[in-house]
Amino acid sequence: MEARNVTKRFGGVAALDHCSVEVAPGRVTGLIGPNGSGKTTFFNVLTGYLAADGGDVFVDGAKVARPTPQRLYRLGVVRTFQYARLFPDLTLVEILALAVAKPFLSVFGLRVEGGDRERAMEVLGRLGLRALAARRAGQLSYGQQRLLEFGTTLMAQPRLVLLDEPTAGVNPVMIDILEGHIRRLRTEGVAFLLVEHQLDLVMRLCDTVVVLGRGVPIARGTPDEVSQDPMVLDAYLGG
Amino acid sequence: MRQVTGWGAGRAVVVFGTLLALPFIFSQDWVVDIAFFGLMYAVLAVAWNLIGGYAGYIWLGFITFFGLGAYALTISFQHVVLTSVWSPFLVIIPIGLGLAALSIPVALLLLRVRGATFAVVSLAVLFLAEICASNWTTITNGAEGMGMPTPPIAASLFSRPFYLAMLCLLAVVLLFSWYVLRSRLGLMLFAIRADEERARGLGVPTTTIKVVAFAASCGFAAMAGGIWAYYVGFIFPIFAFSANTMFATVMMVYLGGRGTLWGPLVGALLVAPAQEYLAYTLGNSQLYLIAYAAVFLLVIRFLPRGIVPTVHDSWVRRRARGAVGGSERLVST
Repeated sequence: MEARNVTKRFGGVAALDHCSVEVAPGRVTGLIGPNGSGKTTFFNVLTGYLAADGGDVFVDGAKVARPTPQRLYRLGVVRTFQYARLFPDLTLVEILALAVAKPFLSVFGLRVEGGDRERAMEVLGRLGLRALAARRAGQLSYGQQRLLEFGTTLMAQPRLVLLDEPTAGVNPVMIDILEGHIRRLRTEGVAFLLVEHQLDLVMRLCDTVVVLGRGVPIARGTPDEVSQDPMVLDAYLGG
Repeated sequence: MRQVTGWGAGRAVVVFGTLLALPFIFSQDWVVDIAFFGLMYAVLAVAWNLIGGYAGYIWLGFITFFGLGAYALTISFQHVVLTSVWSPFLVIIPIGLGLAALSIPVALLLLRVRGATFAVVSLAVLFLAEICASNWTTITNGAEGMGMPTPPIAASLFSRPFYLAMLCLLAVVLLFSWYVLRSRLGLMLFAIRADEERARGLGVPTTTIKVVAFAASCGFAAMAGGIWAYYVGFIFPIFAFSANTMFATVMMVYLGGRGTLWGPLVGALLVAPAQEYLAYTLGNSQLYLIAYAAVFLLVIRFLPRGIVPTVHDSWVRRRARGAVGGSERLVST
């Protein structure tokens, strides 16, 4: 997946200014930058939640004409959100079944098809949430909800997963579980774009790191290169 | 997870069996008349619940389609002499489908906004419809109203065919509502109600799903409006596009339990007959509107989720305590 020259203005402020980022399959790309540098805006454009004022989004080298969340989802581009509240009245199995990409006419089929239920149980098993399958999501702890949300991305058979601060408010054990899953999926060829404030996780996990500063990438490279880049230190520490 | 259970089917048989027997047990026409309005509100409440309960969109222009259905039927029978009581009931079916189709562009326009904005804008649709019906006199005859031809039925049994037609419609709309609840469509509507952005992020085609629920609810409202117009025989814009009917419907859904299968029906069958009875005994004073407001406030204070969910939960809790596995359940929660 690639974003080329993406520009987004809010009023007179350019939140993203000709921003280009490329994400390769089987790699974890980190997106870091100080507050207000445009990370979340970039995320929202890439996932179709915000329409860009300029620039294009490409998946597999093909331009996505009018990116909407649904269209990108069908192309295997899935995301998580910063906050974890996930349909409190639905059961875990229902939420995971909802995340399966299916043809439109399936909406007139059963609420949860047998095959989807089996896949949901399998994913719940992998996440260690199997015993809670029939619970409503509102009854889960915060960390469990974030894990469940990550589980929804597994149901979609994704090719690119965009994670928006997946570790915010999550305890270290859950972070380890999450990290294990990301590593495993990476070996299966899934690409990740990770927005994260916890820099040691970014340095540990990412193959490439892109640093945003005021809506433009100011540095990119391996975690080591980036952490020694004077431009990056400058952007983070002010100047 | 809701499944077909013997218990659920048994409940439906008991409810509909009782409703079917009612006009033959109490054959006095005024009883059947009151019961007719009970069923009419039950249809409206169950239909409104599709968009207002399942999807969480407070669609206050809903009664517009009730009025359009009423006018559509009355206009199509303007110069007809009825030889049988049943033929207009058949015309109601294409009217319902046609108005459901007509509601789709309305849905696409309105569903761009959410929450309180949607509620306010949608209420404006109802007022706009009433103003149009009052002033477009070449089609609607304006505030002077227009009449249906009188069907050939004995006066003492006049209400019965209308009651039975409305009962059929209630069975259809309730069956549809049950089907939605156990389909993926229902799951998606619940997801939209909880968090529409999230639902979009999971690939739910939110606009299409909302339009389906919206159009279905409008189509059923139009059919109810058609039966109503035929029954009352003469319709006026202020009664066909009535805000009172609108708020009564919404209140019944809230009272019974928003987003549940049986809640709207329970709410309607409790409130509508009481309202009709009071209107008979208190005359035209509209005092019942004050009782309405009081009931609404009491519901919000004491039964914020409505009767059906509250009763259901307390029943489940009691059964859990009584059951052998009760202690285990308590430990796990």
